[in-house]
Amino acid sequence: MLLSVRDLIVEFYTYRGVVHALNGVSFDLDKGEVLGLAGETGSGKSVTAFSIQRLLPANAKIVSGKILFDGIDLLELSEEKMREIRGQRIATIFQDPHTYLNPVFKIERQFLDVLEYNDPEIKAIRNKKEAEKVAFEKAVEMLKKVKMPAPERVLKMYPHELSGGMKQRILLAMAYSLTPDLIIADEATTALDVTIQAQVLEIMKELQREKNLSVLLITHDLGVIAENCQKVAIMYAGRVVEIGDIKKVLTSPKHPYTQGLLKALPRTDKEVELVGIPGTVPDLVNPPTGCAFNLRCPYATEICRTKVPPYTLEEGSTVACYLYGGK
Amino acid sequence: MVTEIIKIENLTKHFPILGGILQKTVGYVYAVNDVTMSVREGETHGLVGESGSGKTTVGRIIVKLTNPTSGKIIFEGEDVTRVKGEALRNYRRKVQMVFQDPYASMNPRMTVKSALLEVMNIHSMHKGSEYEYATKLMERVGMSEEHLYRYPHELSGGQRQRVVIARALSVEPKFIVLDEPTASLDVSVQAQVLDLLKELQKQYSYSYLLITHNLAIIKYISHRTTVMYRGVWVETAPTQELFKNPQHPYTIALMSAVPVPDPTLKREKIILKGEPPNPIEKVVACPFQDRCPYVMDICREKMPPNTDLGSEHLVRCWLRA
Amino acid sequence: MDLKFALSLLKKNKLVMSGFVMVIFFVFLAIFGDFIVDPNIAKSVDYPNALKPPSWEHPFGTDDNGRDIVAMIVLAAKYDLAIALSVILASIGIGILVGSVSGYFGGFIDEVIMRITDIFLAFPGLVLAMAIATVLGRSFTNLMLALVIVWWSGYARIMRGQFISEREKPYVAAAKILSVPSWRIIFRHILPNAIYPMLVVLTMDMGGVILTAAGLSFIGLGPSPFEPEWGSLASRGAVYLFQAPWIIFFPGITILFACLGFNLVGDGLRDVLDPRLRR
Repeated sequence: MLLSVRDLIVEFYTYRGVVHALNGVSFDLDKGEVLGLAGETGSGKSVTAFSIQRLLPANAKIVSGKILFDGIDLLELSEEKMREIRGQRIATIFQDPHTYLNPVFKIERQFLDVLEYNDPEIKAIRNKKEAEKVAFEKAVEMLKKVKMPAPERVLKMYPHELSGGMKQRILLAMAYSLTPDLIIADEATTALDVTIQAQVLEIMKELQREKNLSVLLITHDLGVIAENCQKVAIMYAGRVVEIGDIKKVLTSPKHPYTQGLLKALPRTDKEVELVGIPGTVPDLVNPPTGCAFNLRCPYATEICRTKVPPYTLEEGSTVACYLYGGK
Repeated sequence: MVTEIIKIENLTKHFPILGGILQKTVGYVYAVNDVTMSVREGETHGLVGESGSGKTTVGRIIVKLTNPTSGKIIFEGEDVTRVKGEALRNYRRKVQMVFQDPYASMNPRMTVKSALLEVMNIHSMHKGSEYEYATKLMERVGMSEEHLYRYPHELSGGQRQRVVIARALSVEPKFIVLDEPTASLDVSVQAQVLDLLKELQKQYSYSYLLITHNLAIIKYISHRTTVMYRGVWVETAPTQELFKNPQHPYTIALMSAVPVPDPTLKREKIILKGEPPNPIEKVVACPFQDRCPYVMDICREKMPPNTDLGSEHLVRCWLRA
Repeated sequence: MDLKFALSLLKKNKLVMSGFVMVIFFVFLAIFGDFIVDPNIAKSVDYPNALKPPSWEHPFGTDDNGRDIVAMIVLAAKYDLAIALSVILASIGIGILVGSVSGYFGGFIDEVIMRITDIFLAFPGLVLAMAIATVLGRSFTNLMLALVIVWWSGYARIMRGQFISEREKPYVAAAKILSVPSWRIIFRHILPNAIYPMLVVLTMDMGGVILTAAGLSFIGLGPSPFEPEWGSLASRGAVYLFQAPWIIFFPGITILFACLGFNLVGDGLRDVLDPRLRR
């Protein structure tokens, strides 16, 4: 098991009070597997991504839990050791490429910086000019892999001269260039046009297959998950409520929230009657007792309101719902 | 006989780009080029496209936030392209807009009640019974009287969007431009808002222009759809027909690119090469020539003509001419 | 805006709290100064008591007219704060009017207004104030007038910038579509949102105006010697720098603390009004 997250609890300290962002998140990601992490706003999926990389802001605290990466508990590591893992073994691609590329530096400078500081081969080269040359060539090679036209020219450009899709592909190239074991894509294609999104996802698929990478694909778009992942974990209010094989979860969802989500999704492939989920996502400063979904769930019973449901196995999927036992 | 409530003819909008010390015009953003379409009374017409398609600009021109460079807007049979003053105010009572981000389109300092009452006062409507009318509006969008006293930041995303819809309805419009009305909402809330819009249309015969990049909601609520690419309309048809039988290579690629949440569905994805269009370059001949997998020589020379494929299905493509 | 949050943030920052304390102290002096100290002292002359060093009777010493410096400082508080407040309010008033119209309508109106503003901005503040005060003559009102003329252009610029960025926002577009008249959009919709950065500048400028007013008084362009004002008090002490340094020292320190207090409050306000708070 490459990545094993166990009972992760994360809190944010804000003026409004303590925000219980993650309330016991657990999931596994195997080597070469693509796991989708799905949820709406407030579900905690981005917080999970930041927690794994230990890049949470100053007002956040990982209260308890384990994040086992290749056997190492990332939460026990020193910042120095974590820095070695970040980027080299776990790379993250975020949603908005505009904010993740420095507008005052050419792409070349940013890409080469990444390689010169992290790539062991390039770091080993004594002569600085020599190292830069090697890094440049590697950058060009990676850009070709993400189907970037005229890579040498692109490297000499500034971020604002490039489109969103191109920027995202550059970030992809940078992430893959260090041959990480795990890639976390946090809404990496959400801000892109649909046709560009298809392009970028295709490239990600190819790269994943080529190096047998593990990918944690975080998005609210179940369509993207259906077409790119093998497993999916559905998150709600800081907990994983259902996790299992893609086919099982999306065609016969077990958790009422998953069911509600799928019924509320308008489709291009068939005629549907949309049914919204009544109510709203709970306030994480005052989360409801028991199952966080109980206020909106059509099947809620007394126990749902009092105790958090444990995970049970149901037809191959793991669900946190009293409908399937655990009482 | 279904009437067209609004028709835009040969609508073109070029934004000048100013540069240099003297702020001379150094170029243009060719946002909208020769777009003709109409919306029928009581119907929803979807305008779909990606960034650079010009769909948002069309919406803004229709609600007169900006004026077209050329072309006409005909509303209820009258040419309203250049209306001003009193005529403009009348137009703005009949034509409204719902914006994408409900939080950004409300004044964070005004309560819902103040916002609604302000509109009524400006148009001198319901004098003496403003509060009752405001309450009725809230109920119409599925909210209650107590919400009148809330500030935008005290409401959830879905509630805010409902309030924005209520505000648009307060002038008793006939036609509403919906610009990405659910883009900033969560999926579970999106469904509620879409159903509300559908319901309102059924009850009050509102006509909608739905501007979005989301094909799924187009399929859900629009009766007819026009696809735009780079400021040009490339295909238009009744929605069902469009999904069953797309003809323009862009439409086909677009539909193929939309991810479907059904893992059992096996289909061939068409991945378009190249980048989305840069609207600074003028459109000469077919705007899709750089990325079209079926491009021919003539596509680079002349703009494809409007080809009528029957059953109200029009396409602009040399392949189908 | 969450008052609770505002207060909690402020409480945490000791420096800001001390700034608040200073400001409140000076405001107190300004309001009650005339009751604490006999206002006639300002006009009195008591030569036998002149230039006495600090003592129990006169904690800050006496000036060249024999007046108790503590009393003078207390009496001057009212004038200085009044000057600062009036100048700032007047400047902001003009600045808002000019800046909002310029920023909202843009185009030709904007060009014209901005060129005029630029002319005013181009003059070094102190020099312009000096020129105007010299022409108009010594008095409180002329001092204030000179300062307003110098100060308004800065605010106009800030307001214009705010309006330019706000006018493209959806809520303005929505208001336009609802046929809200322009003046109402400017004052009822945009202004309450655009004013935030101004509040920070406002508080910090209080200190700035006091300082500038003091500077002008110091070079003799302020009110007459019988109208107490911190700057003029200090200026009188310049001649006696080595004989009676307390005459310049204590009013000087007062100006320092007044400015410091306002600056710290402005700092605290800036933190409180941080966009974090919005939403």
